[in-house]
Amino acid sequence: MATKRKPYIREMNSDWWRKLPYYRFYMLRELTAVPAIWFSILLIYGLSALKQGEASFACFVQFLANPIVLLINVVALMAALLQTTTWFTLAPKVVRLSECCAYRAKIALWGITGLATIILLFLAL
Amino acid sequence: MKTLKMAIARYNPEVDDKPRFEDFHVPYDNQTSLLDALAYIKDALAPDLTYRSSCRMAICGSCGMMADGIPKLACKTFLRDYAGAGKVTLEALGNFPIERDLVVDLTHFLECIEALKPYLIGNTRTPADGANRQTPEQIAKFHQFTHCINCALCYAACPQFGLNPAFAGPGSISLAYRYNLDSRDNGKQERMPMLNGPEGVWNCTFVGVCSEVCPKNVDPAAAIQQCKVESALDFARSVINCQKEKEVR
Amino acid sequence: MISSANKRVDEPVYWALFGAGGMWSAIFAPAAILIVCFLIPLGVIDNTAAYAGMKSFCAGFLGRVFTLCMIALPIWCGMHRIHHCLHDMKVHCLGLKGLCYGLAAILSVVAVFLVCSF
Repeated sequence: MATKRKPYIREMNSDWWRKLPYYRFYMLRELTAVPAIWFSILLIYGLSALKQGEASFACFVQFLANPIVLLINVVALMAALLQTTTWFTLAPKVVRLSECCAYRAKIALWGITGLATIILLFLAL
Repeated sequence: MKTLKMAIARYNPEVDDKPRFEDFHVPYDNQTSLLDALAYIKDALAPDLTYRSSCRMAICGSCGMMADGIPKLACKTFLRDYAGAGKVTLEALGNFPIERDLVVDLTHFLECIEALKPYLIGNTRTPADGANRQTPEQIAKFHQFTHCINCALCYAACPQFGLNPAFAGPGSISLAYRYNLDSRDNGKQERMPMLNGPEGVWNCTFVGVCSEVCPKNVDPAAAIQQCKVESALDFARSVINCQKEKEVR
Repeated sequence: MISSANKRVDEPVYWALFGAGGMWSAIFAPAAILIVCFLIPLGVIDNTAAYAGMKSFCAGFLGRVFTLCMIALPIWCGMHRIHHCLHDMKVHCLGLKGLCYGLAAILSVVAVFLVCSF
């Protein structure tokens, strides 16, 4: 007898990630990559300006003071903080740790970040 | 008695081209699970409703389905939790082909389990030698991953499995990793090629929803990430070995 | 069906760079963005002092290594994420992978050149 089977395959649309809050947050996490790359390109611009002398560095600083650039950089800072938060939540899972060790690893990572921030600020100011 | 509206995706391969929703009003109290509700519907309203279930106590892993788009075990989910919305939508388990109503075809999942060999390999101990001995530390390494009940909720939650149906998926990789970590096992080299390959761990982007929906807290997302570390080390070893072979020649 | 040919994929290379970049930006990016994008243009750090300070920082060996890592690693992390994000949004075309990682490689080379010639 011929089979009456006719499995129905549900097509996955490209907007699948909009359906659940969890997927939306995942997309937000991944898209922090865009401002991160923006900042790297900004650094390349700044470094070449720094190399060319004081006048072009002043030009770079003027560019940074542009309200639109400042606004983009506010987004970049928030994206960087989100990346730090999510990274330190997920990173301990990659290494096989017990639950309390994973928690301690997360605290330690935040400690390192705090220390690095203080050192960089100390160097800058 | 209070009633809840349940919209159930029905699909009869003999007459339907695609699933269609049918509404049922089901009386419930504080203890009514989705599975109880489905039994009521089958008994009183729609005798042809098709679904899988067995143990009613979240250990057989048969009754996985989508409740409001989230993979759930029907026996472990209660109508009272949907009272606020006044409605619940049930669909067949996501990302798998629908066979009929709430029944899906799990062939891919089962084939992946088989291909990843989740059993002890290369253990020469015979029954005469007695049982294998393991320390509590050796057991603690993999214990969490033994809780998997093969319900495939993680597959329904995983967008990477949805996007690439060839992906071995969270459940089977967790099982493979469970045996890779077992001190009685020597079969890691037989499991690594598939984990390293195009169907293996590198499909995963650590969305992490598999661990959220797992009814047994297996944490398959962690298993896959740790497998990625294993696979990366294996990759590095292969590059070094290849280099050495060239030097020998 | 399970294919019998389990050809090894080259993802570990990109994943390692992604991991290094992710960890680096998680630790250093907030402070770096705060200093470069806010403290300098808003005048908290004096312009001439910033110029002199940056110049001497980039002249030292550690400063060069730090600057290179600060530029290149987040790019590898970011392009890896964008590559996978495009896959998630079902954007597939031939050479997409080459484009993403090629761009990261080009920007890295530019950064290396800048840092070395400083």
